[in-house]
Amino acid sequence: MPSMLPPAERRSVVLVTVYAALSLVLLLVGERIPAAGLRGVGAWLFAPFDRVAGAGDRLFTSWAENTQLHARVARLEVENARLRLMAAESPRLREQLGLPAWQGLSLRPVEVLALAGGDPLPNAVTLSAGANDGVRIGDAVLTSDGLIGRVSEVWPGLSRATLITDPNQAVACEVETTGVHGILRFVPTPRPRLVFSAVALADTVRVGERVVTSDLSLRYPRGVPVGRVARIATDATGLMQEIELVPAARIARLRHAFVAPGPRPPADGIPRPRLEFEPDRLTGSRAGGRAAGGDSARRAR
Amino acid sequence: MRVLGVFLFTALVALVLRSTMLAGLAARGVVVDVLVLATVAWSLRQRESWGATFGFVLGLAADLDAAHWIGRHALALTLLGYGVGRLSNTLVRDSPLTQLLLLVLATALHQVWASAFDASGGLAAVGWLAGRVALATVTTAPLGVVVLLVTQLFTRRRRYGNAPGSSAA
Repeated sequence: MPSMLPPAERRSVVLVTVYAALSLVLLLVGERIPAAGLRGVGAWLFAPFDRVAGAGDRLFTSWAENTQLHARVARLEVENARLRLMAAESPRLREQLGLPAWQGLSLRPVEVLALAGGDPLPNAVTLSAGANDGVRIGDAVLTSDGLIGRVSEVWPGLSRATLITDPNQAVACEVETTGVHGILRFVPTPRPRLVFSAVALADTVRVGERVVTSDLSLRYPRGVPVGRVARIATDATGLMQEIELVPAARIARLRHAFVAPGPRPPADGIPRPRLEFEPDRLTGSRAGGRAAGGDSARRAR
Repeated sequence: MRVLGVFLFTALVALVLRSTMLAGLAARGVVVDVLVLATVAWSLRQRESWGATFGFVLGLAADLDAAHWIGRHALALTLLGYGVGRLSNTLVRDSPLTQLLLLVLATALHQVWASAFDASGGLAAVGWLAGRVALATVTTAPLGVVVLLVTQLFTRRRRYGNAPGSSAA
């Protein structure tokens, strides 16, 4: 009975009714509204404040982080020396096997300005680089520890990456040692966890093994660490394994990241997996015969 | 004009804290519901009309940031802002106990509502979601009382006052 209320109360009842109705409409049709532009304006407005808040946080933790980084640099220098020796013989071996040369990742360092999304885990981040810096939608975002997500929205000076903790993200992955393929997903309930699913029961996976992005992925560069196997169970259907992973990257402590260009779609616009380990002789670019080249082309499609 | 300035400043601080320091804490399991904290504080001071407006604006900004289920925080915080604003007319608003109870109630309601959108996995999820609601409530309510007290000390006056007609008014 709004008409029986005093004018001030009547006004507040009308106001709250309008707000509630608007919220309900947004709940119903909000997913169809193109909100990326609005988020871009918001990110641009909030970026200076996020930088200030982030600077305070960095200053507070810089001492402990500096000590850790020193230890890490020393460890990596030792490992680097070992890898240099292996790197010298790797191209020679690849050439003998007819494999294409390994393409390294070109990494662009960015600052993580803000975390967005859900409680308790964020499912998106605002990055300090945008289209002006060469960042494009689809680029992979990673830290020195491993994959964290993928660029989903790009604005001139900033961008937004959707993290692997978004339940709508899926990443084609494989177990590093055995090459067992599966799909990485984030499952928010009954408790938030990263699950490596669609792994056949016959495949052997062991606790502690490292899972990396697969070369079958259309979206991510291959070989980026994603996590380690923590627990293995059978899924609800009883036909597949459900493997829980400990994330490689620390989602709770994101300050800096790298943007790496993901595999680009071909010029004809038809996406297809490109097998990096596929021998050159099968692609028809080297001696191998027309039949082999034709077969490879058919398989690639 | 001054109210609008404080309105924008409070919303800005809440949103920046939510996307920086508190997001890092939440990922470690310590969830502070700063949206509820700010809405309750604002509604206690400015009553129901401003409370509902603040809740709606803050919730909408949080929804746009999250990109999924736009409107869920806006709806909950609008109703909470209105409810706390209405209740503040009949309560001793300067009492820490009153503030604590309001924050407990508001945080629990908001967390239950927000958790409903994440709910999947049947009964197995109920325990975890209940834990999440309880943890957020236990963390947010006492912290909120401290924040309200500190704000009161800084302004060096009764920030919230008492309900009209109450003995302490």
